[in-house]
Amino acid sequence: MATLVLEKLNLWYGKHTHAVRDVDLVVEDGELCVFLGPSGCGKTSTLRMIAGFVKPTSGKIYLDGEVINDLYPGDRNVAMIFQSYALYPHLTVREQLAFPLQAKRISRQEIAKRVEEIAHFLHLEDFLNRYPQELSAGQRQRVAIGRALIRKPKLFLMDEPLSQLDARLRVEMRANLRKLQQELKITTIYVTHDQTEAQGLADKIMVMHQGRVQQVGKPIEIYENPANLFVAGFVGMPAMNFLRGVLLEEGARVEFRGNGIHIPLSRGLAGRVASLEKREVILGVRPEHLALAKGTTENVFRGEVYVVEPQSNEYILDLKVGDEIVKMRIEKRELVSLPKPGEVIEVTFEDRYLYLFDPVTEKRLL
Amino acid sequence: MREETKSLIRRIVFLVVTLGITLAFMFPLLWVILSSFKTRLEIFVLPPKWIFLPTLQNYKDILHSDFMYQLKNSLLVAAISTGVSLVFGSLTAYGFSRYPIRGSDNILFWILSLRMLPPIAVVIPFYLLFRSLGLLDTNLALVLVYCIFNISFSIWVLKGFFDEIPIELEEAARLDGYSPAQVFWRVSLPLVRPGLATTAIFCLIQSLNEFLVALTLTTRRAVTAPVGLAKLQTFLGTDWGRISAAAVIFMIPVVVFTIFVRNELIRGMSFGRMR
Repeated sequence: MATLVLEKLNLWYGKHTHAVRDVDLVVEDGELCVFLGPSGCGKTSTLRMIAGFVKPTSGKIYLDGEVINDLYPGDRNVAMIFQSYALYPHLTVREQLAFPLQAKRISRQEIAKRVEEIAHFLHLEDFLNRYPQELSAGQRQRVAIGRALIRKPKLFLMDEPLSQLDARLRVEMRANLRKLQQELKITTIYVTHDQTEAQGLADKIMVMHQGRVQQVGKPIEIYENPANLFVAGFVGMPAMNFLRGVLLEEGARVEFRGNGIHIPLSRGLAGRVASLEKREVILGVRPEHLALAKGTTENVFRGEVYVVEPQSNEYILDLKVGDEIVKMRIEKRELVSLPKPGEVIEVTFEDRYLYLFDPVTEKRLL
Repeated sequence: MREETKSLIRRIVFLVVTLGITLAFMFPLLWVILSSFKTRLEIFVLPPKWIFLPTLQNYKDILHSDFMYQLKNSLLVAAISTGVSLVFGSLTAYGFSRYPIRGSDNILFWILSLRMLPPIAVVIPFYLLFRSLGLLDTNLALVLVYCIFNISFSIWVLKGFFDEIPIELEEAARLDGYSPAQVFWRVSLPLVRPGLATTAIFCLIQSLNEFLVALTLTTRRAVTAPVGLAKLQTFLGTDWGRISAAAVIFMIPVVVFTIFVRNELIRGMSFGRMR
């Protein structure tokens, strides 16, 4: 049970690498917060500062109101699941689980009791006398979880704990982790570069890029209201389409003109766009928000089918629009027949699914 | 030719070649062992006798000679210098492996250079040094000299083993509430056991075999087995039977120790992955 607060956290490696820049974050008691970002974005460095493996260059880390910057890792009451699980090769599962308890002055009987409890909880009873090398990936992970849980930590840190599992097991363990965390209500920090994992697990997501926090919010906010170009492009599969261009007013109407593309915008959008000072924009629209235009003339553009990727219940189409490629996700039942390369289709989107970004600051305009 | 016959031939050739190499290496050993059971006359018979009535007289003579005392000296010196080298070697190697040390590459090279010294170059200075310390003809003098060679060797070998341990294991132990010293003792050291075994064997062999320094620094009380062996060649002639018997006895401790740590040694030599 704990609240974690990061305040103006900075980390320099040497003189030239500014790995983490001015990170501010509040993780409420019992919350699962995901640090999401591409590799090298500073998410793992931030996690390592919380664990105490590296000292922040400046800034403060509060756990339950207490500054823990200078505490030894073992005195922070923080547990961690490593990407490699970091199971001790020379200890059996039973010894692994007892290991954190042996560091404290806890009686043998008490240790044995708690090992039994946790083994039962994680279905590890049958493996207690095995060594890590003799376990499957899924079992190893359960041991790592057990070793972290057994000392009832205030804070749980996970560094890409699912990345070593195969796709099937990953989905299964994701659900298990979520259930476990909700049952135990342990404040958790979870680092990943996989946005599906982040969307599925998080109460709160912190998106990082080049050491900076890009946006903090609920998964749905991150998806629906990205704060800037980076977040919009990073979250969502396939990524959001971005088109560079200008907004031109023609009477009461507004038109977007890009690289061989022009899209007449709806009246509703025209009103909202009118207040923008910027005329040069990056227009964004998600592949899943594109639909076939059925007679409408607003928010419409024509594209030539370029590549067709059939998925289980949908197609991902690459449309050639002017000199740009626009991706589109469309359910199979919405199409009469399989789209063929070379076919020209008209595509539209709803007003609320249009995003505009400033091409210089990359901030969201609309 | 069929694929199976080909592979069979390949295996036979492989076996013959390896057997040949092994025999070439083992032959002197076999010769010594056979000679130790022969009488003085039988040793020099040409062509050599392969089948003969073995005698234990050589062993009886050796067991009642100074050689057993010298062997005890050898074992004592080797065991102590190996133990000391492992303790200092592992601590130093761990330090170099885990902590940023300014100029550590240069320091490590300097340490290694101690091992590269030709003993003949330092044996006279050592003699003068130990004479002024009053340590000539003592076991302690030999222990100190052998430690110089063995510690530098231990540091180099063990550093490689410590480098292999994933840092996450130590970080996990630190988070689990162990102090750096406890992490070393409970996680890192157990994980380099194969390295410790390998290092111990090499240190032991090096200390047991050393001849030049032992010859120079000892006269009577602290004489070691190799020097004692050499002294069996006297101006009255060389008793090859007794020398062979002594050599065989001298081999036993190393063989026993090697068998003892065999499993660790194999893992150490193959630098087996630990994860």
